[in-house]
Amino acid sequence: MSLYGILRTSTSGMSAQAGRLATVAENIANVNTNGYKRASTEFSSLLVEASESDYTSGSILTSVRHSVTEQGSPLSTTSPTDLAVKGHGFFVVTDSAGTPFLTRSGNFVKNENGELVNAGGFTLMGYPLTGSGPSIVVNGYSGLVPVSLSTLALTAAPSTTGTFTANLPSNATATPAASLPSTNSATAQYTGKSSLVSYDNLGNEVLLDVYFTKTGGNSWESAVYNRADATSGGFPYTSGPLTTATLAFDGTTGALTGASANSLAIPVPNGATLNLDLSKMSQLATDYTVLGAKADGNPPSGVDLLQITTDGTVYATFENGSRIAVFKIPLATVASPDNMRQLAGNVFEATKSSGDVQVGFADTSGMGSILSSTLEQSTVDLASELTTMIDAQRGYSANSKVFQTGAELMDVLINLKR
Amino acid sequence: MAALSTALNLARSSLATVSGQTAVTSRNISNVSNTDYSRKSAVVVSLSSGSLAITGYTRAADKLLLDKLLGSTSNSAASDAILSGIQRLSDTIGDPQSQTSPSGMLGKFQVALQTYEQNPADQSLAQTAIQSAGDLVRSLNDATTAIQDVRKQADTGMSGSVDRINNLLQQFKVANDAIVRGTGSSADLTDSLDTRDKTMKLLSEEMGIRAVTRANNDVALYTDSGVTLFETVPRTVTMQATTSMMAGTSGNAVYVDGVDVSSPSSSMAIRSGTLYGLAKLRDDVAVVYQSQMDEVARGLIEAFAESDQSATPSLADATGMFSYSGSPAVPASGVAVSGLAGDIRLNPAVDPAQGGLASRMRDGGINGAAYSYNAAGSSGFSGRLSSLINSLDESRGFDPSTNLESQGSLKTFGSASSAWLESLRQQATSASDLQTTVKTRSSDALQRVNGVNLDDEMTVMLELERSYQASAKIISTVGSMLDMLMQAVK
Repeated sequence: MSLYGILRTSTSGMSAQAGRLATVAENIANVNTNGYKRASTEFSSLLVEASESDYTSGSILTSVRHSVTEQGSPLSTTSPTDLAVKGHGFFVVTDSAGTPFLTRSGNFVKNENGELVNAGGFTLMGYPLTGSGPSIVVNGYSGLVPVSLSTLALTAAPSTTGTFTANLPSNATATPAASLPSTNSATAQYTGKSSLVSYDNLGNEVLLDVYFTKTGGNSWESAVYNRADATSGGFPYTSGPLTTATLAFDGTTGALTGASANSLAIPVPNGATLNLDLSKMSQLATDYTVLGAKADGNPPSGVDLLQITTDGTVYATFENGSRIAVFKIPLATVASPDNMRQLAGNVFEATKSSGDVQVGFADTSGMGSILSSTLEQSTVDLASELTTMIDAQRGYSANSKVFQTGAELMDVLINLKR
Repeated sequence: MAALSTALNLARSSLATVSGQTAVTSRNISNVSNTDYSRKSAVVVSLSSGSLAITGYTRAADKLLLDKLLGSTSNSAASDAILSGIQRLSDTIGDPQSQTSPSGMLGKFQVALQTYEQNPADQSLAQTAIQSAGDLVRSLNDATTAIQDVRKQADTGMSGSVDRINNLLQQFKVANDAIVRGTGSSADLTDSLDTRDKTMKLLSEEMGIRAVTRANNDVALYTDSGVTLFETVPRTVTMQATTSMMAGTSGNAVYVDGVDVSSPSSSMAIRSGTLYGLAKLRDDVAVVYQSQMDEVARGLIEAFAESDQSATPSLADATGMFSYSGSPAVPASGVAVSGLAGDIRLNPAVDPAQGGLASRMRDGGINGAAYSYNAAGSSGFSGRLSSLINSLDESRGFDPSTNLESQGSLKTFGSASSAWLESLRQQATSASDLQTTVKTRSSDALQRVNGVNLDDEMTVMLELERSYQASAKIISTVGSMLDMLMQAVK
């Protein structure tokens, strides 16, 4: 019965256009929602089996798609915890119940626990970098913990490695063995002295006095003392040198000879052994000149600043200026992102048709990179939505006209019988 | 891709960027006359899809020129400190043309003695000679006070300089910490960098420094002799000021990080800066000049000493009309006695003002009858006077530590001392002029590189204004396009 078919078909057309208008409404409402992915309505026709002479119109089937893979334009902000992904990856977040989801909304702020929570109320997850490296499970979320900065407060690290580079004056007069700094006598003489800040296990500052003394042609003695033991800033120290070494220089090149000691293993009092690299020391005909000196480690101090690099490493900068990597933010993706289910709060859930979640890191294998101080804007374009709206309106009106005509024909049919 | 929205976003990011750049330009313009300010610029990066953002700020800087400026500032400060001290010495005592200098006084005294020798019976001429001897003694005493004043001021200046250094190192830590913390983030560090450079410039006035840049733009400071001044934390710089400075008192050394940096004997002594100049003045120039004055005083005492005139002399020589605290023993010849110039006195026995007899100058016998040259008591006796006048021109030995000829007459020694100071003054003046020129040159060179050029800033501002106008135009155009769409929706 084709007349009823006309009415049915036009009704389904109207409801399809209404559904399309609904996605337009949702899109326009989310035109400024960061990380929102534009929804669109796709139609497909449903045909009824009909003979050539007797055509019965079918109806229309709608399906809503989210263009999840479409990249939104980046918008720079001033908060370093505003993150955006440039590429195909998603942030791994959890809701308050701990259920993991994926999202592109990176407008994270610190909550009262120091965790990073986005505008949808989801907590950012990451791998802690303290201790051994992250233990990553490619197809699961195990090992992930909320990225939290409060747990980082007051950490201290003892000094373990350092470098010291200086030129020793080749023309200096040699000091007799009896008054070398290693003898720790009150009358000890030296050619050059520098001090270096190092840290013990508890983060106390330990000032190391490093002495360089010429003992003979191309031969130098280096001795390290703990400043705390000094008598009014110098010799004699209340305890002997922490370590000593003899440096032998090549008379032709001025560099250390291959056989010479090229580092000092300094047992920092109450701390670790500081391995001070001396391999770039030189002995040339100029003054004692320090070219570089540095020991690692840091005193206990709170986190002052947070930095997130493009590979997702979260660096905490402490009040004293030292910087350590504390978390690594992973990115996750699925085989078909467009088939993920979009849930409230701009989060996505993997479905059977999207494929399983794969966790990886930014800057690797198509995950994309993480931009700090940036937000990914909504992919909705107002102009195209308005055009779609007009289009849907016209389509709806046309369908209603068809319905009207069908209804009028029915009237004519009914009026045949008086 | 969403074209109209993208256009709007791009225009918006452009507006934000341009206003940020305008803020930087206005900062540059307002600091046009600030020599410690370096020109800033915003780092503009285009993100994907063409939107712009300011990701940081940089400033014009030239490490080599700054190092050069630091070095020349230190040298100039050192030569200025030395010059101003020598100038003070020269103004008060050293001018060889002036009649008030010890060597001028010596000449006057000799003339007075010669006049007296012509007419030994005239008491008023004796009086004049005594007067002139008193003036000579006073000028030597005053010279000692002046020299020790200069040393004392240098000592006070050094302790002030040490305080300033400690203070500056604290400021340096604040700026350096901010830089180390912020490096790698998009924070605006340019002001901290300026402050750190300014602190380094101020430090270099006090002592020669060398900066070593480490990871994270962390800077460690060393003195020009290699002693650690700042490495993560400031090292302590100490000096015990001397409360009263006398001839022979040696001032205390300056210690940086436990190392003596001011004694010339130290293997790590600094070589430039105010501190170096003041230490050189206190421990070298003024000390040598004092020893010269001491030698003048000792020469006088020696020349006017009396010897036993008995037929068989048995008594030791004794100080004559010039005495000192060690009288009557005559100080050993050719060895400087520290502080003697401040100690020399006119012997009360010859000074009528102190109850003495002026005629003893003519007759001798100050230390008793055995020392009398005029045994007959003749009022016309001139033998002793002429031998005294001759003794001023006689060659005698002087201490080599005075840096002057160790053989010569007292008069030549006196004028050589004045000439020595004058030549030092001239050397210091030309050194100071040279170092000031070098400093001005390097300061100008640095200023050309990192200073603000008003013309450039104005040009930039015009460009920014145009760019802002264009972006605003895009926004209004896209706006009216969307309006058209809106009207289409009925």
